[in-house]
Amino acid sequence: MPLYFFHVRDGKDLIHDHVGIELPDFGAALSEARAAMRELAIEALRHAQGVHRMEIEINDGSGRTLQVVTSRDVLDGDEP
Amino acid sequence: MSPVLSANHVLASLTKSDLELIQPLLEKVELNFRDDLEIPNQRIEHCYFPDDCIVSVISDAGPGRAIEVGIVGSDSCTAQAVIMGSDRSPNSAVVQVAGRARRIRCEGLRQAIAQSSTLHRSLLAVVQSFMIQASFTALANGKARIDERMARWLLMAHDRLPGDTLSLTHEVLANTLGVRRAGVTVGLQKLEAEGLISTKRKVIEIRNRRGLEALAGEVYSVQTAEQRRLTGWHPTK
Repeated sequence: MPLYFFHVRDGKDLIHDHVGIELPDFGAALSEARAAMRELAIEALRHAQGVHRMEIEINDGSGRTLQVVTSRDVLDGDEP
Repeated sequence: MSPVLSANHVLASLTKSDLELIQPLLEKVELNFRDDLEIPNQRIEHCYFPDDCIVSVISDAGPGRAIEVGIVGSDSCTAQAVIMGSDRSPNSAVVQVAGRARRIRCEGLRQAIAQSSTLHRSLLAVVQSFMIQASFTALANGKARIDERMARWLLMAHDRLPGDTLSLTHEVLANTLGVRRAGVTVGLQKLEAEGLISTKRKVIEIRNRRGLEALAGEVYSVQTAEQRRLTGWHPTK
Protein backbone atom coordinates (compact mmCIF):
# COMPACT_ATOMS: atom_id res chain seq x y z
CA MET A 1 0.00 0.00 0.00
CA PRO A 2 1.29 3.51 -0.73
CA LEU A 3 2.45 5.76 2.08
CA TYR A 4 0.73 9.14 2.48
CA PHE A 5 1.99 12.02 4.61
CA PHE A 6 -0.32 14.50 6.32
CA HIS A 7 1.37 17.83 7.04
CA VAL A 8 -0.65 20.16 9.24
CA ARG A 9 -0.60 23.92 8.69
CA ASP A 10 -1.95 26.34 11.26
CA GLY A 11 -1.35 29.87 10.01
CA LYS A 12 2.32 30.24 9.21
CA ASP A 13 3.39 27.08 11.03
CA LEU A 14 3.72 23.87 9.02
CA ILE A 15 4.03 20.75 11.14
CA HIS A 16 5.62 17.97 9.12
CA ASP A 17 4.40 14.39 9.31
CA HIS A 18 7.66 12.41 9.08
CA VAL A 19 6.03 9.02 9.58
CA GLY A 20 3.14 8.77 7.15
CA ILE A 21 0.27 6.30 6.99
CA GLU A 22 -0.08 3.33 4.64
CA LEU A 23 -3.44 3.55 2.90
CA PRO A 24 -4.93 1.64 -0.05
CA ASP A 25 -5.39 4.62 -2.39
CA PHE A 26 -5.75 8.39 -2.71
CA GLY A 27 -9.48 8.18 -1.86
CA ALA A 28 -8.63 6.66 1.51
CA ALA A 29 -5.96 9.35 2.05
CA LEU A 30 -8.52 12.07 1.31
CA SER A 31 -10.99 10.53 3.77
CA GLU A 32 -8.25 10.39 6.40
CA ALA A 33 -7.32 14.04 5.81
CA ARG A 34 -10.95 15.17 6.06
CA ALA A 35 -11.53 13.17 9.24
CA ALA A 36 -8.28 14.51 10.73
CA MET A 37 -9.23 18.08 9.79
CA ARG A 38 -12.63 17.69 11.50
CA GLU A 39 -10.91 16.39 14.61
CA LEU A 40 -8.30 19.17 14.73
CA ALA A 41 -10.98 21.82 14.12
CA ILE A 42 -13.22 20.42 16.87
CA GLU A 43 -10.26 20.40 19.26
CA ALA A 44 -9.35 23.99 18.40
CA LEU A 45 -12.90 25.35 18.58
CA ARG A 46 -13.55 23.59 21.88
CA HIS A 47 -10.60 25.45 23.35
CA ALA A 48 -11.61 28.81 21.87
CA GLN A 49 -8.98 28.81 19.10
CA GLY A 50 -9.64 29.82 15.50
CA VAL A 51 -9.66 27.32 12.65
CA HIS A 52 -9.83 29.45 9.52
CA ARG A 53 -6.08 29.12 8.78
CA MET A 54 -5.92 25.36 9.34
CA GLU A 55 -4.99 23.07 6.47
CA ILE A 56 -3.83 19.51 5.97
CA GLU A 57 -1.51 18.85 3.03
CA ILE A 58 -1.58 15.31 1.65
CA ASN A 59 1.87 14.44 0.29
CA ASP A 60 3.15 11.36 -1.45
CA GLY A 61 6.48 9.75 -0.62
CA SER A 62 8.39 12.00 -3.03
CA GLY A 63 7.26 15.19 -1.29
CA ARG A 64 4.69 16.10 -3.94
CA THR A 65 1.53 17.74 -2.59
CA LEU A 66 -1.47 15.76 -3.83
CA GLN A 67 -4.21 17.84 -2.22
CA VAL A 68 -4.80 20.44 0.45
CA VAL A 69 -7.82 20.03 2.73
CA THR A 70 -8.83 23.20 4.57
CA SER A 71 -11.11 23.63 7.57
CA ARG A 72 -13.62 25.24 5.20
CA ASP A 73 -13.71 22.01 3.17
CA VAL A 74 -15.24 20.04 6.04
CA LEU A 75 -17.89 22.55 7.14
CA ASP A 76 -20.58 20.84 5.08
CA GLY A 77 -19.88 17.28 6.21
CA ASP A 78 -19.51 14.30 3.88
CA GLU A 79 -23.10 13.95 2.64
CA PRO A 80 -23.49 14.42 -1.13
CA MET B 1 10.92 -10.96 49.90
CA SER B 2 12.39 -12.28 46.69
CA PRO B 3 14.29 -9.61 44.70
CA VAL B 4 13.12 -11.14 41.41
CA LEU B 5 9.60 -9.97 42.20
CA SER B 6 10.42 -6.38 43.03
CA ALA B 7 9.76 -4.89 39.58
CA ASN B 8 5.99 -5.19 39.99
CA HIS B 9 4.78 -3.02 42.84
CA VAL B 10 1.73 -5.14 43.66
CA LEU B 11 3.84 -8.26 44.16
CA ALA B 12 6.68 -6.37 45.83
CA SER B 13 4.39 -4.85 48.43
CA LEU B 14 2.55 -8.03 49.47
CA THR B 15 3.11 -9.35 52.97
CA LYS B 16 5.52 -12.27 53.27
CA SER B 17 2.74 -14.77 53.89
CA ASP B 18 0.62 -13.47 50.95
CA LEU B 19 3.63 -13.64 48.66
CA GLU B 20 4.31 -17.21 49.80
CA LEU B 21 0.70 -18.04 48.99
CA ILE B 22 0.90 -16.96 45.35
CA GLN B 23 4.61 -17.17 44.50
CA PRO B 24 4.50 -20.93 43.67
CA LEU B 25 1.66 -20.20 41.22
CA LEU B 26 3.46 -17.39 39.37
CA GLU B 27 4.90 -18.01 35.93
CA LYS B 28 7.34 -15.72 34.10
CA VAL B 29 6.22 -14.69 30.61
CA GLU B 30 7.41 -12.47 27.78
CA LEU B 31 4.62 -10.39 26.30
CA ASN B 32 4.68 -9.13 22.72
CA PHE B 33 3.17 -5.99 21.20
CA ARG B 34 -0.55 -6.54 20.54
CA ASP B 35 -0.85 -9.79 22.53
CA ASP B 36 -4.47 -10.13 23.66
CA LEU B 37 -4.52 -10.80 27.40
CA GLU B 38 -8.29 -10.39 27.77
CA ILE B 39 -10.91 -10.74 25.06
CA PRO B 40 -14.32 -9.02 25.55
CA ASN B 41 -16.88 -11.23 27.31
CA GLN B 42 -14.64 -14.28 27.34
CA ARG B 43 -13.50 -16.00 30.48
CA ILE B 44 -10.22 -14.45 31.69
CA GLU B 45 -7.53 -17.13 32.00
CA HIS B 46 -4.66 -15.31 33.72
CA CYS B 47 -3.93 -12.32 35.91
CA TYR B 48 -0.73 -10.56 34.70
CA PHE B 49 1.67 -8.56 36.87
CA PRO B 50 3.85 -6.54 34.45
CA ASP B 51 7.52 -5.94 35.22
CA ASP B 52 8.42 -3.63 32.34
CA CYS B 53 5.56 -3.82 29.84
CA ILE B 54 2.36 -1.81 29.43
CA VAL B 55 -1.10 -3.27 28.93
CA SER B 56 -3.88 -1.13 27.57
CA VAL B 57 -7.45 -1.65 28.79
CA ILE B 58 -9.82 -0.77 25.96
CA SER B 59 -13.58 -0.22 25.72
CA ASP B 60 -14.82 -1.11 22.26
CA ALA B 61 -18.09 -0.15 20.56
CA GLY B 62 -17.17 -1.43 17.07
CA PRO B 63 -14.76 -0.41 14.27
CA GLY B 64 -13.31 3.06 14.82
CA ARG B 65 -15.18 3.38 18.12
CA ALA B 66 -12.70 1.95 20.59
CA ILE B 67 -10.77 3.93 23.21
CA GLU B 68 -8.25 3.20 25.92
CA VAL B 69 -9.65 3.68 29.42
CA GLY B 70 -6.47 3.01 31.33
CA ILE B 71 -3.08 1.31 31.43
CA VAL B 72 -1.65 -1.43 33.60
CA GLY B 73 2.11 -1.60 34.12
CA SER B 74 4.57 -2.35 36.91
CA ASP B 75 2.21 -0.50 39.27
CA SER B 76 -0.76 -2.80 38.86
CA CYS B 77 -2.21 -6.03 37.46
CA THR B 78 -4.77 -7.20 34.92
CA ALA B 79 -7.80 -9.46 35.52
CA GLN B 80 -9.38 -6.89 37.82
CA ALA B 81 -12.82 -8.34 36.97
CA VAL B 82 -11.64 -11.55 38.64
CA ILE B 83 -10.42 -9.69 41.74
CA MET B 84 -13.91 -8.19 41.94
CA GLY B 85 -15.49 -11.65 41.87
CA SER B 86 -16.46 -11.91 38.20
CA ASP B 87 -14.78 -13.96 35.46
CA ARG B 88 -15.00 -11.72 32.38
CA SER B 89 -15.37 -8.13 31.16
CA PRO B 90 -16.65 -6.35 28.02
CA ASN B 91 -13.29 -4.52 27.96
CA SER B 92 -10.22 -5.95 26.28
CA ALA B 93 -6.64 -5.96 27.56
CA VAL B 94 -3.90 -5.68 24.92
CA VAL B 95 -0.13 -5.38 25.25
CA GLN B 96 0.86 -1.88 24.13
CA VAL B 97 4.57 -1.99 25.06
CA ALA B 98 6.26 -5.41 24.99
CA GLY B 99 8.16 -6.77 27.98
CA ARG B 100 8.21 -9.17 30.88
CA ALA B 101 5.45 -10.06 33.31
CA ARG B 102 4.46 -12.69 35.81
CA ARG B 103 1.10 -14.36 35.58
CA ILE B 104 -1.09 -16.54 37.71
CA ARG B 105 -4.03 -18.67 36.58
CA CYS B 106 -7.28 -17.04 37.69
CA GLU B 107 -8.37 -20.23 39.44
CA GLY B 108 -5.28 -20.08 41.64
CA LEU B 109 -5.81 -16.37 42.25
CA ARG B 110 -9.43 -16.98 43.37
CA GLN B 111 -8.29 -19.65 45.83
CA ALA B 112 -5.54 -17.41 47.21
CA ILE B 113 -7.99 -14.51 47.63
CA ALA B 114 -10.39 -16.86 49.46
CA GLN B 115 -7.59 -17.86 51.82
CA SER B 116 -6.23 -14.41 52.64
CA SER B 117 -8.24 -11.29 53.43
CA THR B 118 -5.05 -9.19 53.43
CA LEU B 119 -4.25 -10.34 49.88
CA HIS B 120 -7.80 -9.50 48.81
CA ARG B 121 -7.53 -6.05 50.41
CA SER B 122 -4.22 -5.33 48.64
CA LEU B 123 -5.73 -6.32 45.29
CA LEU B 124 -8.92 -4.31 45.89
CA ALA B 125 -6.77 -1.21 46.47
CA VAL B 126 -5.16 -1.88 43.06
CA VAL B 127 -8.61 -2.10 41.45
CA GLN B 128 -9.73 1.12 43.15
CA SER B 129 -6.56 2.86 41.87
CA PHE B 130 -7.34 1.70 38.36
CA MET B 131 -10.94 2.94 38.64
CA ILE B 132 -9.65 6.39 39.60
CA GLN B 133 -7.18 6.30 36.71
CA ALA B 134 -10.03 5.34 34.33
CA SER B 135 -12.25 8.13 35.63
CA PHE B 136 -9.44 10.63 35.03
CA THR B 137 -9.03 9.23 31.52
CA ALA B 138 -12.71 10.09 31.00
CA LEU B 139 -12.11 13.56 32.43
CA ALA B 140 -9.02 14.10 30.26
CA ASN B 141 -10.80 12.88 27.11
CA GLY B 142 -13.75 15.16 27.81
CA LYS B 143 -12.06 18.30 29.08
CA ALA B 144 -8.30 18.39 28.40
CA ARG B 145 -6.47 19.58 25.28
CA ILE B 146 -4.62 17.03 23.16
CA ASP B 147 -1.21 18.23 24.38
CA GLU B 148 -2.35 17.91 28.01
CA ARG B 149 -3.68 14.40 27.35
CA MET B 150 -0.46 13.46 25.60
CA ALA B 151 1.62 14.82 28.49
CA ARG B 152 -0.54 12.78 30.89
CA TRP B 153 -0.10 9.57 28.91
CA LEU B 154 3.65 10.02 28.43
CA LEU B 155 4.05 10.59 32.19
CA MET B 156 2.00 7.47 32.93
CA ALA B 157 4.18 5.45 30.53
CA HIS B 158 7.39 7.02 31.93
CA ASP B 159 6.26 6.02 35.45
CA ARG B 160 5.83 2.38 34.43
CA LEU B 161 8.83 1.79 32.15
CA PRO B 162 12.58 1.85 32.83
CA GLY B 163 14.66 4.76 31.48
CA ASP B 164 13.75 8.05 29.84
CA THR B 165 13.13 6.86 26.29
CA LEU B 166 9.80 5.40 25.26
CA SER B 167 9.56 3.23 22.15
CA LEU B 168 6.14 4.25 20.87
CA THR B 169 4.90 4.59 17.34
CA HIS B 170 2.53 7.37 16.33
CA GLU B 171 -0.01 4.63 15.71
CA VAL B 172 0.19 3.45 19.33
CA LEU B 173 -0.18 7.01 20.61
CA ALA B 174 -3.16 7.60 18.31
CA ASN B 175 -4.86 4.43 19.57
CA THR B 176 -4.18 5.14 23.23
CA LEU B 177 -5.30 8.76 23.06
CA GLY B 178 -8.27 8.05 20.80
CA VAL B 179 -7.19 10.59 18.19
CA ARG B 180 -6.20 10.45 14.54
CA ARG B 181 -2.56 10.43 13.59
CA ALA B 182 -2.61 14.13 12.64
CA GLY B 183 -3.57 14.90 16.24
CA VAL B 184 -0.51 12.96 17.40
CA THR B 185 1.73 14.88 14.97
CA VAL B 186 0.42 18.21 16.28
CA GLY B 187 0.55 17.22 19.96
CA LEU B 188 4.10 15.83 19.78
CA GLN B 189 5.30 18.90 17.90
CA LYS B 190 3.86 21.16 20.59
CA LEU B 191 5.57 19.24 23.39
CA GLU B 192 8.83 19.15 21.44
CA ALA B 193 8.70 22.90 20.69
CA GLU B 194 8.42 23.53 24.44
CA GLY B 195 11.49 21.35 25.08
CA LEU B 196 9.53 18.78 27.09
CA ILE B 197 10.34 15.82 24.83
CA SER B 198 12.40 15.01 21.78
CA THR B 199 11.22 12.62 19.12
CA LYS B 200 12.85 10.34 16.62
CA ARG B 201 10.94 8.05 14.33
CA LYS B 202 9.79 5.53 16.93
CA VAL B 203 11.40 6.85 20.10
CA ILE B 204 10.22 9.60 22.41
CA GLU B 205 12.70 10.91 24.94
CA ILE B 206 11.44 12.63 28.08
CA ARG B 207 13.53 15.82 28.39
CA ASN B 208 11.66 17.81 31.04
CA ARG B 209 9.49 15.67 33.27
CA ARG B 210 8.58 18.54 35.61
CA GLY B 211 7.43 20.54 32.60
CA LEU B 212 5.20 17.65 31.47
CA GLU B 213 3.76 17.41 35.00
CA ALA B 214 3.00 21.14 34.98
CA LEU B 215 1.32 20.85 31.57
CA ALA B 216 -0.80 17.82 32.48
CA GLY B 217 -1.75 19.31 35.86
CA GLU B 218 -4.61 17.71 37.78
CA VAL B 219 -5.52 15.17 35.10
CA TYR B 220 -2.23 13.47 36.02
CA SER B 221 -1.49 14.54 39.59
CA VAL B 222 -4.78 13.64 41.29
CA GLN B 223 -4.88 10.00 40.18
CA THR B 224 -1.18 9.62 41.00
CA ALA B 225 -1.60 10.96 44.54
CA GLU B 226 -4.64 8.76 45.06
CA GLN B 227 -2.80 5.66 43.85
CA ARG B 228 -0.03 6.43 46.33
CA ARG B 229 -2.58 6.80 49.15
CA LEU B 230 -4.29 3.54 48.21
CA THR B 231 -1.37 1.28 47.32
CA GLY B 232 1.86 3.07 48.25
CA TRP B 233 2.92 3.14 44.60
CA HIS B 234 4.46 6.40 43.40
CA PRO B 235 6.57 7.67 40.49
CA THR B 236 10.29 7.48 41.18
CA LYS B 237 11.64 9.68 38.38
